[in-house]
Amino acid sequence: MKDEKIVAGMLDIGEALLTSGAEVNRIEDTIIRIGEAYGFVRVDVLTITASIVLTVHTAQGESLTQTRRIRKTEINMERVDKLNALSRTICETKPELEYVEQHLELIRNTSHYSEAVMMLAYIMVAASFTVFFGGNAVDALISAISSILVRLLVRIGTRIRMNPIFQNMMCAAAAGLFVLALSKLGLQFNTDSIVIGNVMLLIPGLALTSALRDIIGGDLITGSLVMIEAVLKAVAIALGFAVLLIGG
Amino acid sequence: MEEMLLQIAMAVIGSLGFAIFFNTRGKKLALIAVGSALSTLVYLLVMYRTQDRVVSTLAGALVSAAIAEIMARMMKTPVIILLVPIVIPLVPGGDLYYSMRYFIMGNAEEFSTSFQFMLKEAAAIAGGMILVSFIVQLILKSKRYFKEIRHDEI
Repeated sequence: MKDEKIVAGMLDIGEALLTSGAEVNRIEDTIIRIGEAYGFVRVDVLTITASIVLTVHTAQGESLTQTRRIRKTEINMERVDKLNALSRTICETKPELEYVEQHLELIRNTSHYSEAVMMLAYIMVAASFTVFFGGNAVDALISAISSILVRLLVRIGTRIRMNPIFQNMMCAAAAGLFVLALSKLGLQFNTDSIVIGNVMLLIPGLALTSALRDIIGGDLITGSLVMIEAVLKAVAIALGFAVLLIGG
Repeated sequence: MEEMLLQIAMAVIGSLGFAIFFNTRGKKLALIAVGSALSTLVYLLVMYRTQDRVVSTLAGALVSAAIAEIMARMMKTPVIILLVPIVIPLVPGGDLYYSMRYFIMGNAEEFSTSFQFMLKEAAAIAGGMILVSFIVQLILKSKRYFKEIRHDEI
């Protein structure tokens, strides 16, 4: 019974890592280390994008298998960092299950930045990259306004659980239409820089990087699947902005 | 010179924005700012010398990945937390946009140029990350190997 609870706890940590956006390599490595710390003689774990399968062999010769199917992901690096620290503590001190459960609950409740800060981050990214790609102060301002629009759409899209690929296309199209409308009003600005600033908001940077790291680490299945999704998202951005280019 | 400083400042702000998207907090934000500034500085310097976007991106990616690996080990934090925001300014968002633009305008020649640049720059980022991660793994594995040998002798 106790072993079953430990296995469930290991999966809880793995699941929390996966939903927060950690790489497969890290998830499997963490689960194996914890399993070994708790004295299982063999730990077999397989993680593929949205599912974890875990089998452990106890010193008494029994084996236990549990699986998890993960549906929701919400990138949260603070959570990954804390989970990483927790698993270090577990491996070093082998604490009681209650301790692990308590800390896991605390980590699950790690708060995200407030909406105001997120809005500010969107403005920071869009405006700074507009300037980075050759825009001036006016372009940066327009880019900032457009990024607020993108943020609002992202929030709505997330709330109604819109397909992320389609969501990217919609956001790009909306930003494109906004810029197009302004230019039809006769305002003079550098369209390219503004749009590129907004492109940068939507680039699936984390997915591309973690897919690459998964592939290097030998997790080809997850790596390729995530890579395909990330590339589709990038294509969706381009398709979304096609609205602006066709209209203009 | 002034333009370079502006570029670096913008890259740092962009990187910090991205770090906030991923809910990164505390000291790590400062490290990301430093990493992003260094990586963009290298990118711009190489760009100034060679006028080659792909080579510059590769240089920037190598620096970004190396900084992220080193800082992550110092902070005992996952590499990816630092790596993604630091590398973001190198992402070829511009070429993604221009290739789309020329594609729709029906300008096949310009489209082909931008599109190839986008692919090459993406490959340069990937290549830089792979190379650094390969070297790090090599170092870690050989360290472990030599430790085991010493252990066996005793």
